[in-house]
Amino acid sequence: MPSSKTQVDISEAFSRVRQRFERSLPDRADAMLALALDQKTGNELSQLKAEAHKLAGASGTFGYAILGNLARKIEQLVVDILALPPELRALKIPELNKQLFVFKQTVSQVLGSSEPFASSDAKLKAEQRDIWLMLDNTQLLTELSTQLQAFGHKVQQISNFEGCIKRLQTENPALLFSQVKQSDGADLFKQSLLLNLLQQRQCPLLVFSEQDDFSLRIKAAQQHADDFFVQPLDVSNMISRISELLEQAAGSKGRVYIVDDDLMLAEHYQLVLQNIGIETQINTQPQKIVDELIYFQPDLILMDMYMPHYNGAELAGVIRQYPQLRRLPIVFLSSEQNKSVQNRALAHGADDFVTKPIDDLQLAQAVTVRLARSLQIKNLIEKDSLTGLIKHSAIKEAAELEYERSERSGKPLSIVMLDIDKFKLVNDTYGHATGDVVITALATLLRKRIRKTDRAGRYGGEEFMLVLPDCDAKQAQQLTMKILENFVILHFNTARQPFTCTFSAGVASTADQAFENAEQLIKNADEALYRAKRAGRNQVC
Amino acid sequence: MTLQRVMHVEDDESIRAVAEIALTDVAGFTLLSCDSGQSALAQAEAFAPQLILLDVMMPQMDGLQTMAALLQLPSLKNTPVVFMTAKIQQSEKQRYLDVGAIGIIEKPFEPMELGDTLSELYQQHITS
Repeated sequence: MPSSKTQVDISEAFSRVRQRFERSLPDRADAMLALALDQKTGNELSQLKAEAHKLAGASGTFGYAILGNLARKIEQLVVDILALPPELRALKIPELNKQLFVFKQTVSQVLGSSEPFASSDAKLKAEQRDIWLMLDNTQLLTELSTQLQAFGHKVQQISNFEGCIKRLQTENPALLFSQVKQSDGADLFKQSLLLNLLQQRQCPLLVFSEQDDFSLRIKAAQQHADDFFVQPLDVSNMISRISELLEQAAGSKGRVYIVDDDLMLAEHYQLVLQNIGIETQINTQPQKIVDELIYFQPDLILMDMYMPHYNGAELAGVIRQYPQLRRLPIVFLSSEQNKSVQNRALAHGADDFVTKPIDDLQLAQAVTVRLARSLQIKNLIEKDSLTGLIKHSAIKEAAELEYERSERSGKPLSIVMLDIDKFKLVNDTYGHATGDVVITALATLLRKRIRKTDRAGRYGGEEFMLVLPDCDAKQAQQLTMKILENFVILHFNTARQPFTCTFSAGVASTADQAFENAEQLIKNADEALYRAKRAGRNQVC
Repeated sequence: MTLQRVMHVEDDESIRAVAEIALTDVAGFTLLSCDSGQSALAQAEAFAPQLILLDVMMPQMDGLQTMAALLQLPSLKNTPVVFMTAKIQQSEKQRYLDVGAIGIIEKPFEPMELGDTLSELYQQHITS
């Protein structure tokens, strides 16, 4: 027997080395850049070549194929530069600097994929911009302002179009919620300057109308309004829509996984897509495609149709053999014009074709459109209509995926189960509509408080689940306590009297004990939840 | 005879650390890990490796120079050498094989398989 160390010891040892490597990456990226920017002794390029070479080898070994490829590109570029006569080298330095910047950015991207919890409070405040409300209906205006403020949004009331345009010159609102009217001569949809300014600022526009009117809806669509609300306004639904829009604006525009045997081309697609805010990963080996997909969790696959070892249709066939990947849209990139060949590939599980050659702008547009549609469909399938959180089956799936990832990365995974206290009493006393408001409120709080990499789902009626990768039990407990503190101060207004609610929560983490699978981890969190209930509710166990 | 004593020469600290776990904890070898060709030369005879795993690109003495110097030591002159290097071209690969390396391992490598790969290369070498 080779060793007395257990599998766990070994994977822990690997993960310690990997963490050390990860910690060294930002400094190493900076050091390379410094070498390129500050060439004094003439020896800097050789040092840079050696460092890029090392990073090319090491990055891949630690699972960062993207960084490995970039480092290799940098190494090759330095080799090319060194081969030039000294007086010509300066011409190539800008290109080198650019590559080094890309490397540095990619480092912070791959490392930043799980941001620390400590920052999320500060982030919340720094990123918070005002919501502008432009409504004639004063009763609605007051109600909306109060509710939005309860969720921590800052609200500004805007009285007319002129004021709005003036303020848009110097201010940058998070979104504009405006009333529209059919009869009004000074209607919002005639304010082309205002609408232009909003578009320039990429500021979402939500419109509200007292009548549901098709021609107004068409105008709203023409002006790229993000949503159309009709009297009577469902305030809780609208607030969760606003939160969703704000999260979208702040977050990633989706993830695309690129499969192309031509690495240069794949890296080019990657740059184009990264430029428009899409996260990407390039397949390193066809054999690793399923592992990498499970790890990266893309929203779309962009795949070359013809590759030397396995063609696109074959790989799509393999991907479709895995239940958790069955819904993932696959877009083929191909110079194939023959419709029958295209149809055959579609029959094998591809969803769409993009014809090569394609210029950068076309690629960006083609992917953006398909990605947006894919995310919409995913939302419809996965998300609970009341809360906008993912549904029972999807959150369980997320827990399983994250469990697999945590097994591989060695980073802890925590699961939190939350249940609103005495919810039946709320329903019985104030009615189901009010009960729904409470549920939506907690859902919105959960979404606002968690990191980009975390998932929140509605597990059952009034039961919720959080999946928190790279998070130990203590951090999970602190986060949940914070959410509880925020939840208990919310006042729910009813015709009878305002009331408040509490919840109980249970935490389980792979940092504390070993679990055989995600199900056990969930069960453990459930047991902790029941301990919290038995101990008197309104607490986290 | 099975592979037991391996000397690894690599200037990158993180790769050394991964290889150390892969070759000791996973593969169960006795390992001497050196951070440069010079340090390898100083310790090689006392350690008496059955196989030498060499990084190609190192400052000062590179992999080829280190190999040449090590094989000049009388007690090491028949010790098989395996190179480890980031993705290379076929012609370069051939060059390493031509100077007598018994194998080339490409970086990035799979740590869980490194020991097995070396054992296989070693078995092929001693039976051929």
